[in-house]
Amino acid sequence: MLNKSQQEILIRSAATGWVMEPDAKRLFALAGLPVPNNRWLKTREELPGLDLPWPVAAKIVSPSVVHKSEVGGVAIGLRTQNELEDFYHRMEPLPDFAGILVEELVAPGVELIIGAKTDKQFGPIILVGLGGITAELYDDVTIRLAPLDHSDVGAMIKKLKAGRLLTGFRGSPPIAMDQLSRVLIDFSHLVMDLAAEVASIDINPLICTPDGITIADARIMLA
Amino acid sequence: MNLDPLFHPRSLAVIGLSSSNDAHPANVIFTKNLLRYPARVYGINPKGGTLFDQTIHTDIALIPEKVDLAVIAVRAELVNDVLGRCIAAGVESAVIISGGFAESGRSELQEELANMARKVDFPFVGPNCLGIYAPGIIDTFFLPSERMVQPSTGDVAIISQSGGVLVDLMVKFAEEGIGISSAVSIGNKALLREIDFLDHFAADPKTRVIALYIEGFAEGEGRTFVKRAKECGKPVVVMKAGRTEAGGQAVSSHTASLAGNYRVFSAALDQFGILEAKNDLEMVSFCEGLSCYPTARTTGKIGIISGSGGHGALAVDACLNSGFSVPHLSEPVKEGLREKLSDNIRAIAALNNPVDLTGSAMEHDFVVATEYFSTLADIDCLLLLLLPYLPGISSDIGARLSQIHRKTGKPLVAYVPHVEKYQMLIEGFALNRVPVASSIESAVMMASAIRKETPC
Repeated sequence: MLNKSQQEILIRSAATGWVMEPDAKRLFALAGLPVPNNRWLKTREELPGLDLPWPVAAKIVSPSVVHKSEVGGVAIGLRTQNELEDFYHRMEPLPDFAGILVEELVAPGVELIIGAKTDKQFGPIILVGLGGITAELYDDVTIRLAPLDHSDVGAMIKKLKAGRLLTGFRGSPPIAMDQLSRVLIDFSHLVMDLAAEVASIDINPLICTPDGITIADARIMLA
Repeated sequence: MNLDPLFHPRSLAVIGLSSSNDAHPANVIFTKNLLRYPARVYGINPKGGTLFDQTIHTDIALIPEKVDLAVIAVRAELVNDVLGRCIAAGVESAVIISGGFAESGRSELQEELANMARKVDFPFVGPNCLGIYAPGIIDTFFLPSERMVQPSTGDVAIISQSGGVLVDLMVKFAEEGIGISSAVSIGNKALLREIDFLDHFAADPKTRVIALYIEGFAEGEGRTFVKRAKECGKPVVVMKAGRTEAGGQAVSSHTASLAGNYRVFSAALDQFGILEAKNDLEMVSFCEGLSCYPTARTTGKIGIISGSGGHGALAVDACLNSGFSVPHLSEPVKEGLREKLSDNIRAIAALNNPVDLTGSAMEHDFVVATEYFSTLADIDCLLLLLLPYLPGISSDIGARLSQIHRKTGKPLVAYVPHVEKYQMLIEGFALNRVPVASSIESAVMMASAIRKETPC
């Protein structure tokens, strides 16, 4: 069941047709899914009060900008207040500017895409695959009907060509598989609750390291 | 809803006979059932008359006995009235052959039929379909008997949205010697749909394997289908049309783009243990393998016995491409086999996996090699590439090798070219329920059908 805050996010996103990243991440955090510490700074006056450790990542928030990197709307590794303010000034003129999302940096790891879609014939499905901007290029994905249980997750990872990147490939340590499994299962249950309202969800990338799993970017397209 | 009257009618009414056109669907169905099937057949036309010396009744209510199945082949506008009369007359079930419904934009007319039937729990197939074929019992296909290829009585049930695809599959099943329990073309599936027939055949003692040709499901129906198919306890094979996505659609997310309709369909089948046949050769091969071995499940470790090195090599390629392993034999195992072979090939046979017994092999050599492989724990399915033209073997070899399967229980799959000359050899296998493929590729597909998904 969605809680009240989650429902409010869906309601206020209805007009734009999609849930912007800060709201999507809040919705996921409310479901217990791992998102980086973040602040949505909506005015210039809020910049000096930022209480996250440097360096940070910052991204544009705008209902008109679905693909942030295409407008130069993503900055990774800003080190100072000045750099943050510069970024803010560059973003401010973009259409329907609604502030910037500032986040703690996520340590690099294996990038997966975790997706969901409400399929007409089969209802909610979960997709797991090799993520990043090349997700569609490599097309290494596996799909199952939601909700998932532990054996589903195991079977999905096993079917991925990139599965071995997760379990330890050429000396790299295995990623936090138990946590990944937990994330996928919890996500699949959230997807069941969202089935009526949502057309598709991209979590891309989901960053997987030996120490943990983090949703680095997320977008929810409404039905 | 009880579907038995559809598949086992004792009395049949054919509605819509033509007095002037013998090729009319109703006339073809009337004639073939009258002359070739056991049900008592009644023809109906409001004008009356006679056909094959049978009185044509003017109304369904005038038939002197309770009708189990009515075949309706009248114009679309008249179907509603005819169906109502059938229900009022106490008919048990119907097949509506007539077209001109949802497929030509008249969904409302079709919905009326479904609503009328649903209210009184009256089962009907169609509209816009061929209906039912059950060997030796009933045939509502409006195709002339002499040109219809009819598979023998067997244990595969076929459910097909398309009548044309069904008839084609029946030709191929007959060619491969696979028997069917029943076949049903469901057409527009206004009332009875894939899931209804799946449930029916799941409970049908004559059916061991359920094969479907599916074009698509209604909203949410796919999820119910895969769950029921998994629970039904019988192997289910699905061939899906529409595997390519319509291109050029703007897609809003990676997931929407990566998880297209067919991908989801295919993944759902896989998740619920339903075999997907990608083409009709797979369909036929999977059904034959499963019909012979409905419960045997291997882990995909194949032993190959051949009378030619080339056949063995081709089979290894096909096996490895399909995800099988072809385990090596240890030296003591090879020596154990060598001792059993006849003198004339002992020195020349290549005793690896595949085993090449060579063209000089005697029937005895195939028998001992098959027996020997059947005892190896490392091998859980045998592929026999027999080459029926070898001088040392007889037409009895199929039956003799089948006995080994009957003794040991280890699944055998044979490859023998399907030409009339080798029919006796093929029958030796078939009578013992050992599947015989007409190509190496098909033999490997049969073996795939009985392989367990590797556990995670």
